[in-house]
Amino acid sequence: MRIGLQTSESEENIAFVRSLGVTDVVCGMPADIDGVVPAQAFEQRRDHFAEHGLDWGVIENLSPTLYDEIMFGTPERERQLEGVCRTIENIGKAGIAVLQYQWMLLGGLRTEYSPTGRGGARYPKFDEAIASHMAAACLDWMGGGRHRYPHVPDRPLSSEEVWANLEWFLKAVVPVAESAGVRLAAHPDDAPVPEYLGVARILISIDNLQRVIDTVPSPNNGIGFCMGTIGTMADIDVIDAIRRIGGQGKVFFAHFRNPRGTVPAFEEVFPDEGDIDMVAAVSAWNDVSFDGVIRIDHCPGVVGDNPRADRSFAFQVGYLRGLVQSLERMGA
Amino acid sequence: MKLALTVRYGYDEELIFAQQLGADAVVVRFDLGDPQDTALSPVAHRVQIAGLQLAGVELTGMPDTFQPWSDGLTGALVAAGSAGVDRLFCASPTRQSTDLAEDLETVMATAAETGVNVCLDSSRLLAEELAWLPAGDVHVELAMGSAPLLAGADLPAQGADRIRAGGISGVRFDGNGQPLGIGPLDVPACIAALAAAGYDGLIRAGAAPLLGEDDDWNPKGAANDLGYLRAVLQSLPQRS
Repeated sequence: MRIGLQTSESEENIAFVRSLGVTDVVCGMPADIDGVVPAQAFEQRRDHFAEHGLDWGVIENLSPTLYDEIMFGTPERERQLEGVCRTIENIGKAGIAVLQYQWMLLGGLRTEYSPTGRGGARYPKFDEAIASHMAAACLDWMGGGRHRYPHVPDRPLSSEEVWANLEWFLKAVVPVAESAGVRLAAHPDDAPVPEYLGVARILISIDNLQRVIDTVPSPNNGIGFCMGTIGTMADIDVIDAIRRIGGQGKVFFAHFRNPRGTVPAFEEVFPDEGDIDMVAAVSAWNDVSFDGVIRIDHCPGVVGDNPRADRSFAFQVGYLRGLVQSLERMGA
Repeated sequence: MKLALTVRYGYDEELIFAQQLGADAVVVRFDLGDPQDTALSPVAHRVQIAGLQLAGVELTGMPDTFQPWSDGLTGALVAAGSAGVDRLFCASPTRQSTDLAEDLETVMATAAETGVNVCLDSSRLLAEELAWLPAGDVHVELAMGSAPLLAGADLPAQGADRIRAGGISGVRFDGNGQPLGIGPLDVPACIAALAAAGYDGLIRAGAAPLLGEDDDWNPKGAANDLGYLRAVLQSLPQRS
């Protein structure tokens, strides 16, 4: 596996990444023009990273504003689909291997960010009992799409509808991704609860992630294996999940994070103290010969840290590298 | 093994940082040349109240000539004894005689009287001095990655030999300006060898590397190194 970090194009951010000895970076999409991100925009960003010795191999994520009508299945989806397909072609032209996307119609969910962790560290938390009557739970992760991306739904959507919309999407875009040489990685729903504000969330179990894979069998259709999200699914064994999905060669990208608890309530903790046995997890990644990028995911808030949480990320990079090297060098 | 983070005397943020990142203990750096580093008496209480264990006090700013060094250290031993500090880490001075035992006589006597362990930095000791120690309560902190224990294929074996010889009260991993795990120092192999030799004491990282832009105590580098060492320790039981 290759340890990756999310970064912007800023010199300061890049200097931090490089000083950690990380050379694989993950970054979001450049701005679109009428629903299409031009190839030149990807190439310029790729070249900027390359000039600093960094390899931009994963786009995280497909911007929700490019396909929100598709997720909701509105009449506008045909127009958006054309833009998504052209954008995937342009990603391929830029030689970027992996595009992660998510199918959370209302985005990621958290309900608290409280100083109740180890030594008063701030832990992001989720509690379904609170989220079920709190539209604000979805706001944090809406990013640039917040102004138009619906976070208070117009109507309920059933799981059948949401699955139908995803299948329609996959059947259209996977052939385009094959031609473009881009691998599509579906991120599970975080938090993995079956519905939120009346809108179904479907990528909430390993069986459902398998269904994504099986819906359009293709070497370019796979999973963005978020250990933190999958670790909070009900009745989950993350190590088994790594072996099941990773053993098929269907993990195109992974997130390194360790939660404590599962739905309906959990918190994000430091990697050395969560419920997942991270030594066994890294061993499982080795066993399935995972050679993609595993990105350090969001993490607890540490005293005195900057807005990018560099201290917390540095701890996690060191932690993951320590596990990887221990297992590699000692043959465990 | 117990994982420690080195923090500066009097800096609350660094104690909280150590606790949040899961250090088992702290080594408090006390700079004899800093007028704000005034007294050892509050150190043990401050560390305890912050939810941590005190692994010892590291004396910096020590004179580099022998007699002033010895005077400073014996004074610090007395202060440490009455402050509830049971270990002092320090570098040895420039050697002026070939008889380390004779030179350390006063230090050894004071250490015995006060019940405070002295832990000399192996990177400042000559090979014959390193072989001669421990002497009474004067022990060694092995500086893995710094002379004479330089990174290389035989370093784990050298470290294990030193552990079996006894008198090792701490092990420090020096990245020499690079994050642990990046340079030539094979920390997992060293820790495995130390564990196999029966070592169960304190380990810590050396001076934290500068990672990008950072505060003057390099907390990003310290965080990386602490996380790295924690992971190596957690992987140990899986190997046995």
